[in-house]
Amino acid sequence: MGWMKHLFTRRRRYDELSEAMREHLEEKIEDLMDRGLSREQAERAARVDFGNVVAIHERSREVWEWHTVESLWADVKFAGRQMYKSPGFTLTCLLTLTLGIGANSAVFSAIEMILLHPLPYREPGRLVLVSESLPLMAGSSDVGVSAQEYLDYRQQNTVFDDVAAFETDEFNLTGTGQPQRVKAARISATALPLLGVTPKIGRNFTAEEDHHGSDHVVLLSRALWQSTYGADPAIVGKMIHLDETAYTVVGVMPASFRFPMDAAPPSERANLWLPIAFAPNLLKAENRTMEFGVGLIGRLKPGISTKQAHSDIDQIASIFMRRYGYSGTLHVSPHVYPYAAHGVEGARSLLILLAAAVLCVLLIASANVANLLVARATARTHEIALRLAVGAGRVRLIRQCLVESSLLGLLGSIGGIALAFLLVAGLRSFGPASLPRLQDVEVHPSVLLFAVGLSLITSVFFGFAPAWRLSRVPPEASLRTARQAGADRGSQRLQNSVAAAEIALTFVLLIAGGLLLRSFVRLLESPFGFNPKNAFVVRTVFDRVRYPDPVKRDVAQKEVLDRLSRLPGIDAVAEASHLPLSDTRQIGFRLEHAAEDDFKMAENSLVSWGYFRAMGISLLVGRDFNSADRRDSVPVAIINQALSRKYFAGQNPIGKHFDWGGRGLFTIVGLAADVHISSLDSDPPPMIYFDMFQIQSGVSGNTAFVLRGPRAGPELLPSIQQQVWTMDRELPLYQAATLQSLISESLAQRSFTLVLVGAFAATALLLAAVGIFGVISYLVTQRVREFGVRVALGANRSQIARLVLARGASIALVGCGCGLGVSLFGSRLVLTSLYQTNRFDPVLLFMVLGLLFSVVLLASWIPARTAAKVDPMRALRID
Amino acid sequence: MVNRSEYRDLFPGALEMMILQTLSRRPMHGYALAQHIKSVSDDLLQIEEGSLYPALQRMLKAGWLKSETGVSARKRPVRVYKLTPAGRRRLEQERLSFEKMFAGINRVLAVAES
Repeated sequence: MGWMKHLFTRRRRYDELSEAMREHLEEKIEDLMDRGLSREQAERAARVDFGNVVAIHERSREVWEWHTVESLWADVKFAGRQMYKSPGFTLTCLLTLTLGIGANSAVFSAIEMILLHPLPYREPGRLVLVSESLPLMAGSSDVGVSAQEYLDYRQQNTVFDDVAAFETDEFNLTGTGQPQRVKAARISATALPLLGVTPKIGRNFTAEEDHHGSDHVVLLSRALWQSTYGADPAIVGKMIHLDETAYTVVGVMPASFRFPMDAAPPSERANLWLPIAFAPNLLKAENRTMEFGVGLIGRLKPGISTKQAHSDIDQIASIFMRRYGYSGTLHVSPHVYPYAAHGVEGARSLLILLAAAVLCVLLIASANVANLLVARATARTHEIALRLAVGAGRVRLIRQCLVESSLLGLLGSIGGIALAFLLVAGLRSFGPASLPRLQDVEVHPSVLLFAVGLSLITSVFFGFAPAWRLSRVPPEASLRTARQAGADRGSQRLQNSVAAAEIALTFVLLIAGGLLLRSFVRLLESPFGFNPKNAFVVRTVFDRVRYPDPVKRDVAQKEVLDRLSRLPGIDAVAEASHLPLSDTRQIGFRLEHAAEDDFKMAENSLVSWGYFRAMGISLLVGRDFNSADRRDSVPVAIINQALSRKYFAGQNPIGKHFDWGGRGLFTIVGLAADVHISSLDSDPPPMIYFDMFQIQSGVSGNTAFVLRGPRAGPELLPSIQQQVWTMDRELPLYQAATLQSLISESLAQRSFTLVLVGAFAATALLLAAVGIFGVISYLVTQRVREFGVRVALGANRSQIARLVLARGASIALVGCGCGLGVSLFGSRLVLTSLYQTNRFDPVLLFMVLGLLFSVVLLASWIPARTAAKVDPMRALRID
Repeated sequence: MVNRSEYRDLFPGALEMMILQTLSRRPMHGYALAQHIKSVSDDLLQIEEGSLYPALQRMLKAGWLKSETGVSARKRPVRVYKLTPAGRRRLEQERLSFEKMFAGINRVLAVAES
């Protein structure tokens, strides 16, 4: 308890101590004066004999102190006062750190979750996806495998522990209030054991249930179980109705189970799982090469690589292609992808680009803080030398600088952490829905730790280095020279190169931002092919169970079209099975007189009369579908320009014929303008439109109504519902949206990238400007005397200003040079995000150069003016 | 370097022992203590007068001394330092160990000379 007592009586002790020392000196002086010394001489002699009063006092006090902690606290308090005294410096440092840490933690947390976070399956690294592509289809689109091929792969492979099949599907869920459209997945009975997942309640499908006819069982998602069935614990064994057919619930899956839409946003995820139970139709010999679309997932045997698996699969494929006579354009080439990476492929380049950009910002932020700290420490040479001279301990001084910079780093980190949480929350609510697993993104602790660590190391190191160097200089030397000699060359060179590095990084970011912006503008300027204004879309489904008779279905659809067209403020109404920027469906057709196996691919949509008018797609030549096109008349088609260019170059396509799906020869009756299908930045593919009231297709009854008119918008939805439900209460209406929103959705990921990279570039520019300003101002302070001498010797004031500006310009020059070099290589990163834009665009290059130089000159201008105003009398006076 | 005091201690404990010894005769205040040590050692031991104070604080904390108000030679009120019983015991121990050490050193020196 001794220390407690000490703590309370200490102040009194310190007072006594000072008192005793004062008495001592007094008495000594008086004695010396008695011996005949003058008061002044006596005081001097007494002090020499006694020693350094302040240091001795401090040493005596230390006896009572709780040493380290207390002096540390004193240092912290001192550092706080220092920071408070120079709010500009402090605020700049803190903001820089906050921004650097916050933005980095957010972006890297997103990367961790989206690209690196393991899926919730047993040993997810051994899961691979097998899919085939058809070489005749341009590009690399995977089509999955056919049911029979799946069985071949399953039986003949030597590389997998097991394989499973999956497909996506949709159902009308009825009998639970309003009809719901639910996403579902069909999976083989092997899927759950292969993934290492068991239902939360209930059981998996049995192998017997995975056969056509005995497959009316279903597993529910946890979300659906809770929202629609009130988390009924006795759900297992109950019946639910999907497309008017009864299914028995056998279990509920855990909340984390999202197979096979692992990366999809919540609205796209499966809510039901059913046995895949291939229909006999799918297993027919001719459908081996016609009906693809089955997903195949395999678990690699231990020690087998993706490459080995690929060669095994390839061999199996070549065997069955030979045996079943795959010929001509029907050739398939199988691929093996790591399962987890495949699902997030689309986001990879975007995230890597963002990571590179945000890392640049972090580096610039660190560089800025480093520069500020170095400049400040050097500016304090005088103060530190003075403190050394009056007896401050070296260790103590270094520790104090260290405490100051760590305090800065710490406060910046706290700000950064807060910002990171804010940004991640923002990312979740405003990020593009197409970004996989976006809703799962959370601030990742180790990412946070890394960013905080980096900033702490920067601030501590750059706070410590100059303090350490200064403390080794004999104080009399620094005291003599601090105010007159120019800055010591070492720290100046360091500062210049740090500033140049900032410029270089900013250059790279500005180039990246510029390229993205140009691409974006190009995209918006390029024709969409349809008119997105004043158009509204709502989807429904005329399923075959409810409308088994095609004639009755046509009547119902026409009635809906008729009712909708009579809504006030609606000029045109039409229907389509597939809409641009939302759905894609490809068909293989043969040109007239082509070989038996010479298939060409085209996008396809079945549309009602007036579709082109309702969508605002121009019909260039020929006619629209009309009531003369009946089921029993000659099948007709409308094609787009891309198809005409590709297969009828230089000819009039109207009246030409092609064969599709054994339905006889189709006659081309119209030519429509090109429309972007999968996305705005991919070229419009060849496309064939059929008349939905003429052609019976394999398409499920999914259909979209397009309404055009001045009043077409979301506020019309209640009237639409009323009209449709008057006719059929059980028709689900879903995905109501304007055409404009389809465009913005298609651009969402791009605009998101653009906004972020743009924000990073702007931040970098700002930080770099602050950095340059700091370096040049510091330079001017250091060279005030020199400028004074120059002015005194007759130098023109504008010459002085030019001298300073030249320094800024030379830093900018070096920085831009390095930046140019880096961006030549680095622009590869934005390559996938460019659209009709040259990545070495010289105009952009000059614009960025111009912008950077003007910012640097602006930042140097203020200190240059100060330098030009130097008063030689004041500058040369020695203090 | 200014902060590196060459006078800080003669050898570990020496200053403390001299203070204990001096105060064991009679209580004294700081200045008198310094003058006494200086004069007795015949100015052979160059100590910085101020360095008494950290030593005094250490000993106060250890409980070997206590301070009281007294009067100086010039009739001024001053802090007077006085030995406590614990201080006395400490002095005995120090003296014993010092004598032992001194005897040891002497013996080694004697052997070295012969």
